[in-house]
Amino acid sequence: MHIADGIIASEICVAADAACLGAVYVMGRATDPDEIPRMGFVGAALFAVSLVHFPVAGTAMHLALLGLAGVLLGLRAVPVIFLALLFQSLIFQHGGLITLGLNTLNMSAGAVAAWAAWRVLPVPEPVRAFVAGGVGILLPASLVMGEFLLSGYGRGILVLYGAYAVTALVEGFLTVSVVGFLRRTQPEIMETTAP
Amino acid sequence: MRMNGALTLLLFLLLSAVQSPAAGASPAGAVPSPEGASLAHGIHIQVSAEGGIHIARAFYEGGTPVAGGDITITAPDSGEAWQTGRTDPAGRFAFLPDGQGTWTIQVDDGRGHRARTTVQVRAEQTAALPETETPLQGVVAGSHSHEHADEATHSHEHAEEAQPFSSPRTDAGGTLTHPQGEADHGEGRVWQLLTGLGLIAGITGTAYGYTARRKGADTQ
Repeated sequence: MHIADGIIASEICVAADAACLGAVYVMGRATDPDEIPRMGFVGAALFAVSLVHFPVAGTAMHLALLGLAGVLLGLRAVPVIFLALLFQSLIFQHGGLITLGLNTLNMSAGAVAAWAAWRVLPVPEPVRAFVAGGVGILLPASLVMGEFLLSGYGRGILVLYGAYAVTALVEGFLTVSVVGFLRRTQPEIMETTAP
Repeated sequence: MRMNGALTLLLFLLLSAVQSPAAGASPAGAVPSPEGASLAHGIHIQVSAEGGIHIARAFYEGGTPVAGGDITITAPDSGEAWQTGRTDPAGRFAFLPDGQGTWTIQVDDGRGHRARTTVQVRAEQTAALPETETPLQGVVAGSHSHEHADEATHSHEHAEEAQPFSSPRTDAGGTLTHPQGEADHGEGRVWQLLTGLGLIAGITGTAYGYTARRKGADTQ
């Protein structure tokens, strides 16, 4: 789901970079020291998880954990996602550097939507966790595909939606199990979802 | 709090960005093409030849070049790598076959995607550079695969002009095979992963110390 350099017009990328830096600043403002270790852990998980591929419907997918990041970090997920994507781009060439802002915004949208679903939905916690996990991947996927279509790319990529749907299911169940696990073992982590 | 963790993070990020020229500028002559590297995962390889110089170009479905992919060239009737190297930022790799026959080209992006294709090299296309340019081509797709590299052995007679190299890149060259070539690969990935995790841990610790100190200063 990382957009590489050279696809989206560079003016748009630069604008997105600026917006991204602004968002990172605003969302990361006045971070409490108590939040930092959690952000670090989630950041490390986001960074590493994209290397673990598994086959889905003839292509390879990887988890993104954006929904989980949203649930655990709230809006603080934005600077964390930025950091994880930056290192993926620098170290693995996974996603472009110029498109870093756009990628960050796409994925942050997933995390923030997941956080909203987690907070707002009037349903039992496991269901909210499942929805959050799924939204965390489907929204960024939709945004990326929309951007590709607007850039004149063919509709062929829409086929990949099937693979994303499967990934979303996996992410949903994973988020449910992680949230359940944390609720049992470290309930205070779940309570301190800021801001 | 006036200063904050996020600012510190940004500072570190900028520093690391400066030190890592790897991912930046897109190369001149890059093929303009859409596609997110992880969005579509199949790798395709196209081979074009001009004189004796064969240029393999590896790209994902949709056209994103496979930059920095490990490429292995195998000579006809040989099980061993004849040459290994990395594709340039435009996904290209040039080599000069020294004999006719069916050469095998395999590209691995190190993220679980690999493709293999073959190219028929005729006698006049070998490294003994001929006077005349003979655009030939064995195109086609190494089909994508995960663990098992499907072998696409069809090579169509289908001409394609070689992409001009407008700017040589330091990482574009091939290196002669040495025995460790294959083994290095997986290990490199692990080190990259550890590097990233170490950086994140370091930034986290620094940010923690910084914000904690600010907090302490504020409460005094």
